[in-house]
Amino acid sequence: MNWEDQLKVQAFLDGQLPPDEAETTAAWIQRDPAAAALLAELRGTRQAVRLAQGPVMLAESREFYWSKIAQDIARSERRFPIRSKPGLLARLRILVLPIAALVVLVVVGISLRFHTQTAPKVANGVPPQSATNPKLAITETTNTILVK
Amino acid sequence: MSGTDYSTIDDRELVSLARSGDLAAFEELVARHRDKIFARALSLTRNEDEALELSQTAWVKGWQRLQQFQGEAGFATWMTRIVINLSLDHLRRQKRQRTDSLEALTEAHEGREPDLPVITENPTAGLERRELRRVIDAALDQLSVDHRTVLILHEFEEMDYKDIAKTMGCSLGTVMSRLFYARRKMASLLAAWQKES
Repeated sequence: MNWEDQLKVQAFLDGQLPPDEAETTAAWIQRDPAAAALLAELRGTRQAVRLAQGPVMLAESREFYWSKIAQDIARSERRFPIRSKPGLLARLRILVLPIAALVVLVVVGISLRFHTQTAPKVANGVPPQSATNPKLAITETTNTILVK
Repeated sequence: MSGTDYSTIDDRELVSLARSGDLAAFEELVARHRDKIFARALSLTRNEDEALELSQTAWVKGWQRLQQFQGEAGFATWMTRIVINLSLDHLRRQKRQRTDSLEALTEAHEGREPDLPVITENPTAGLERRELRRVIDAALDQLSVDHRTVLILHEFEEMDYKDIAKTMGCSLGTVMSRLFYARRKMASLLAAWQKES
């Protein structure tokens, strides 16, 4: 029996073959004594191992066993506090701050733009409005408008 | 929930309480399932001290990951997966630290042992359960870590080939080959034990 056939016998035992392949494998095992013997051995070992599994009892008392776990949990929470999932209100609150900041930026941007458009120009030798308007005097260095 | 008798509450409710931060509810879960979690670590590591430590670490991880527990499988099954993964990580670290030449040799042959004769008589027939456990335990000790792990995950945890491959990070073919070798080796060890006794 080749290696692949041996693994097929095992897969058959473990129910890991697709139904049609399991059917043809079962027929082959019935005809082949070597395959049947291998199947019997694998089945016997599987049964023995499964039967041998029994309950294991920890020798430590409940309190002693738990005390180390509790200590480690407390230590880990001091280092990495576990946060519960934020509620809807908390999640909304998280969004409010960036949105408010965005709104402030937009308002400031618009007002600055508006301000620069309405401010008098002094560039390229064009006389400021104050030159023709005696009521206004502009100091070019500070760009401040003084009303006399 | 002071004064609550946690022993009368089912796992699902205890998990729900623990998720909201009730440590006493979690302690009850630990008390209920600690033997099973320790047993799995012990069957994989074969060392009581290491198994004890790994099982306790698994509970701490369980507490930290409670929010991820979806409840499709039972709580004990979920915890068992955690301790299996921790034990496998631990064994991998150990393996990296020491070069096990015999194991390396076995792996090089992909676990094939074509010369083993098929055992026709059941060597464990008629054994009492306690004796059977002792014999199987001794035989398991003689398997390499990888072969024993596949056998334990398949026979004790009833994991299918695909799940084992995923858990161990190897191919399906490797799982099949390791399982086959482990079973055949167990059969020959049990037959040898029968001859001796």
